[in-house]
Amino acid sequence: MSEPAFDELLRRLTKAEVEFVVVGGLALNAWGIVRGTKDVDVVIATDPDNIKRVAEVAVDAGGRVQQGEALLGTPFSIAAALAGGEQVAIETDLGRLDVVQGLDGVPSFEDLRSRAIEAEILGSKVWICSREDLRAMKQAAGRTRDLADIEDLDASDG
Amino acid sequence: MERPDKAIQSASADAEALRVQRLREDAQRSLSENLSEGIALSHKLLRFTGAALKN
Repeated sequence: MSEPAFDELLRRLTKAEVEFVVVGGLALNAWGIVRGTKDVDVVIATDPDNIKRVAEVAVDAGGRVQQGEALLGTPFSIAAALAGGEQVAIETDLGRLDVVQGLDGVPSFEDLRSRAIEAEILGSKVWICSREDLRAMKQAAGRTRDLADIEDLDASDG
Repeated sequence: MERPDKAIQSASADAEALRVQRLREDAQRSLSENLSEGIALSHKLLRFTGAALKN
């Protein structure tokens, strides 16, 4: 990563008309729990055109995916990895883009999007998963960090 | 005079109350404002850890 720029990464995804919902640490930030996060977690629509757009944005930003011994760095190979339905971490020059999929407790893009709330970053509109979906995903993940996040979410909801 | 353990408990309760109050205040702000602030914080931390790894 040359210089982290999560906001620019989100702007580029929106500009390319990628359909996605922000989840994870950045969604937590948006809901008022401001703590650092090391990546941009998104759930994307899984139709081939959308996957292709994600892969193109990623490659334009210097994206590559480590898959076993292989280092994927072309739109085609990254799109193929995304189409596999497993979680894919794409290291870009703007920061890590984590495409969350295939995990228990993560709703479909359509369900997340139907309940998501719009926010603005660098003049672009992005969809943030609902507070309830975020809480449920944290509960399902169940790591110590997630449980601490739930505690903060609940405390902030007074 | 307050016993030391009571004083520690009292300070801890005060800190927790303040933390909850701040969380509630942050939750009242717009998603966009909080998102920007979170991103700025993440960038600072990543630069810091990146610099630390280089050294």
